[in-house]
Amino acid sequence: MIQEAGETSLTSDIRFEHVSKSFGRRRILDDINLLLPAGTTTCLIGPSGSGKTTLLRCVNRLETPDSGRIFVGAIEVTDPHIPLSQVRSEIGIVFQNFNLFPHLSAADNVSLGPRVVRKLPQSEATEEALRQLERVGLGQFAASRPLQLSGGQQQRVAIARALAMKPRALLFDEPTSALDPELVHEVLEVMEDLSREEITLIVATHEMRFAQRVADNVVFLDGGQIVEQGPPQQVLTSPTSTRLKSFLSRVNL
Amino acid sequence: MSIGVTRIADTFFDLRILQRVFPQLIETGLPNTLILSVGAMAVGLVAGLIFALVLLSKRPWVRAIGRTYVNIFRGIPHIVSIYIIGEGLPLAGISIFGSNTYLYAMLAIGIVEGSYISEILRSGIRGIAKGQFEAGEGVGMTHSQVMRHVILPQAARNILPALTGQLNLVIKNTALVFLLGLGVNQRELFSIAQDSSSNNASLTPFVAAGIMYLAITLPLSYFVTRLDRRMGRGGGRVRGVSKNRDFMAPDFPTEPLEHTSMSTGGAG
Ligand SMILES: Nc1ncnc2c1ncn2[C@@H]1O[C@H](COP(=O)(O)OP(=O)(O)OP(=O)(O)O)[C@@H](O)[C@H]1O
Ligand SMILES: [Mg+2]
Repeated sequence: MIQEAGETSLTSDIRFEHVSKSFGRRRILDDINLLLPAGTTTCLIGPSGSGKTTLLRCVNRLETPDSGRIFVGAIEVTDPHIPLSQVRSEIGIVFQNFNLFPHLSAADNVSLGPRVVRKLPQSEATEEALRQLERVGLGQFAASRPLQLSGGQQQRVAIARALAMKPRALLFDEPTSALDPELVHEVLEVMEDLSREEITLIVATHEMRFAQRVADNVVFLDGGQIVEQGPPQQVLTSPTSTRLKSFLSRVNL
Repeated sequence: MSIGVTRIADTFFDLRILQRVFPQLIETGLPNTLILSVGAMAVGLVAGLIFALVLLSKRPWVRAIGRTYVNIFRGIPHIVSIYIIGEGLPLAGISIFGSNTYLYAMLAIGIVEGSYISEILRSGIRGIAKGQFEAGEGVGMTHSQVMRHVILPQAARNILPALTGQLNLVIKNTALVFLLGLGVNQRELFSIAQDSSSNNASLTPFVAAGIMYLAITLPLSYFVTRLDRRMGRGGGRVRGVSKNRDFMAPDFPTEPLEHTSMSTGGAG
């Protein structure tokens, strides 16, 4: 589905060093250490409440860890003096509920960031938007409003919106769990195409078959801790910990 | 014509009186009603905007101030508030407008309307899903950029129909300023009707005034309905692409829409 390959050049690795975060008294992330090589795809799995969303949101600083450091390439995103808009424009995020701007056409949804944040002139921002919509297979829907699109199409627009910022890394927070089953496939297909490109992806997901097929690395999170990690064949087919075994038996791979 | 019908006609539609009162209503009453309405609405918008921000404050005690204002003026009859503000301010020595009743009337109605408008504005902004802020910030926009490009344009869509509806109420509420006593040339529709009614011992002037009010409020209501229907509907334009037919939104989605019920995230 993706027509232009190799667009994103500045891909970066992502490193977590002793990252912890609590909400109130509850420790949601507990001493996370992780290295995700540049250009790889990592699937983040774990039960509800295990901290997947919080972990992702710390990477583009929608949340701030209480302690520890996170690096994306040479940028320390946890540096208290770094401008948040810089961090967020370099690290895209795709939400479970799409969160498209309902008052803007698909193309304007995608071009807003380039125009306002990257300061591209209108015509270039629109060209960029049309290119990215083309890339997720929605070229002919440029003028449609989000509410005129199916959930799967909306999520693909959201992916195009993130890509238009030319991010070093892209975070997906359960991108298909708000979708009807028959619409999941078109979104996963776009993501699979992305995974073959030079961009670092982290995908929180319950789609185990997607993880099995696409991920370079699977990380199992439980109670805010990394319990197991490794290539999908290892983590998903021969888990060692009882926690992962029982989790996998519940999600029936 | 039977006696009954003639009597009804004379009570409500006495042609002689209609002929005399309509010119007055149109020349004096209508402009005054409109000026009072617009002035009161302006005061209401300023008060409403200030108190909407107060109501949206992070500090509970600041919100409490806003809550108090809203609860007081929405909780007592307009007629009471207008007496208290319009008569009370000059009596209490707060004679900001000298002895000009007209302006006290405007202020009084404006302050009352502000309590309703602040709630309209507050809920219009609050109604924008939190996900919209995050989506804007997620592409790197600053808080004020998100406000300007994402939140306010959507809030305007929520707010504008309700605000126009409120203007309709303000127009009707200006009738209450007769309470404060107006100069001959300051009389609005209702005062003129009232004076004419007692001079002629007839209800016909009120019917005439009613028709005048309808002439303003009906088109406005129609406009609100239209506005409500238009907001957020229809295909979007692509900025920077002028009338390119290739990008016209399809009238009907080309893929089935049954699924969109699931997909209200942030958009609903
Ligand atoms: N802003 C917040 N304030 C307080 N508690 C929070 C906040 N955000 C998340 N939590 C709590 O942190 C815990 C972990 O949440 P998180 O959303 O990261 O888990 P998750 O793995 O993404 O779960 P799910 O699969 O349900 O999305 C949850 O118990 C949640 O209630
Ligand atoms: Mg989550």
